[in-house]
Amino acid sequence: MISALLIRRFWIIKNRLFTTLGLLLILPIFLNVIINLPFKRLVVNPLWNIPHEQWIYPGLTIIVVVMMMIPSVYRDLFELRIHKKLLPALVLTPISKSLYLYSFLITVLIETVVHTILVMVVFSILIVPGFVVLDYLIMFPFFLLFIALGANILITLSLIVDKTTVYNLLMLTFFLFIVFASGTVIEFEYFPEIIGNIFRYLPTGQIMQSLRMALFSGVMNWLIVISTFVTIILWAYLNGIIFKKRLIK
Amino acid sequence: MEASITFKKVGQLIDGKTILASLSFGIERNSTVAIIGDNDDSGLTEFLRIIAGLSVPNYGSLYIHGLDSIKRQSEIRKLIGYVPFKNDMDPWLTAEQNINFINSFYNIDNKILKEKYKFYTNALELGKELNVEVNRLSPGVLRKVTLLRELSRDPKILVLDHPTAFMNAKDSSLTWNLLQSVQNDMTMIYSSSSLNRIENFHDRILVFHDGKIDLDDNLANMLKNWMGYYQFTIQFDKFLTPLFNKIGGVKNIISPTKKENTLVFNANNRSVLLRVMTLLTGVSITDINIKRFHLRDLLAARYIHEGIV
Repeated sequence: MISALLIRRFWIIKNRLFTTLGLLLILPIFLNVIINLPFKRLVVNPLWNIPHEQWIYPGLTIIVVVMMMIPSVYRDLFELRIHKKLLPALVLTPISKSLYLYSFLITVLIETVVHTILVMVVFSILIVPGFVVLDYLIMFPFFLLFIALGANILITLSLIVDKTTVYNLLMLTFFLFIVFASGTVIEFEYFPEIIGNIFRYLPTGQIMQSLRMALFSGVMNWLIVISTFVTIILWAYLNGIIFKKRLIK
Repeated sequence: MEASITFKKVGQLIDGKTILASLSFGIERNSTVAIIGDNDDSGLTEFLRIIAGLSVPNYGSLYIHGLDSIKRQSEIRKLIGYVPFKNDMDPWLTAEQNINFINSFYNIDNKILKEKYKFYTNALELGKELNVEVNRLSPGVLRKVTLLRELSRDPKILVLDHPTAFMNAKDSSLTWNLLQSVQNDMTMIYSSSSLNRIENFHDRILVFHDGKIDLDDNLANMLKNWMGYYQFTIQFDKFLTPLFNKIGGVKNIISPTKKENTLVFNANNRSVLLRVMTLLTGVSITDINIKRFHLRDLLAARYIHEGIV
């Protein structure tokens, strides 16, 4: 089933190749201009004395990759669902609908791996963070965990919301949350204590902190990694149930 | 004959309104069933959706090839092809990509799938349209593409909601011819507003009215039971009541009526007219008209105020 979904993704990208490639190039440049450059001037004394370029690199990469993921999830689980395209035909196939959703999540992650590599290359050229190969290898699994969490959030929203206006507002909120409240760009210490603590203990905040801890201190917090992984699995299972319920009424 | 589809007290409510009311009947294997109903409340689309597996009935049981539609869902899904009224294809993929994607989930031998696909592509005269993104195709071509998608899986039951809607005359004719050529290989249930087509393409006609099946038979039997095959109109110079009463006693005459100097009656065969004529010796006749009844006449007579026709 995953191969069928991957082939379909390939077809969609092939049918819109220039838009996809353009976005992959333009988004990092745009985010570099609107987030990285002003923050570089704004943050005079970086926390923990980590160079700004190294601090911001993982967060910016995650933001771009999550943004690139939104159209795929939006199209396949919201737009096609509310317009009754593809999914009615899919309902009538003999496959397990939950399994379809898990395969969809894996497909999104596989596609995201490709996006992540490309975005990492582009940001390495734009920001020049001065990382070594090992640093990139450490970052990569954390990116995947964060993106899998983000994909689950997007899937849930795409499945439970039926109105386009509500969905758009939620997507904007989700984007603002990823940029400002998940530790990608702004460290939790900058928030008022209570709010900072709330954001810090959310799964997204936990993953960002673990990523930076592994990257800058060399300490791997396995408890966070495993608990995030379990959260992703349970969330995907829940999404499978919602998907099935939403398809067959 | 073996049953292909069996309804046992199947009922469906939508927003508290009864759409289908306790349906119990069977459809024989490899038979062709045409269904007719008004577009709003007859329950026709819901009926097709239930057979296809898109809707689950609120109560009652449905068996497809002897399998319970709820408990043996995945087995049943392999047997059914469904052409919905509204296009359900992914607008960002080409027609061929859409077909390949959906059919890849049916676990059918690729060689067989390709052979069938090629055969029906030729039969439906589809070519370069298959490589065009679906959102650029006309609704009529889209219906042919949907039919191709379903037929290439070689389903045992084919459910079609207005199969030739939006098609031009040529495509419509092509599609009906194709459906007629495969009708003996599968059970076919279809709705259509083309009554002429239905007359020539059915083993049974179901007429839905207010969520119930109001008529269920082939056209010949329906006409025979409800109004006869023919309507005869005889116009006289002067038509008196005693003669009318005499004609009313003729064997096998149906619904004789007198309208001033005109006699109108129905019958199942033309010999009734000859029997009537023997009573008319010496009577001056100005005109005789014989009309063969059609499905439209039957529906008009029965639902004249209900808006079915």
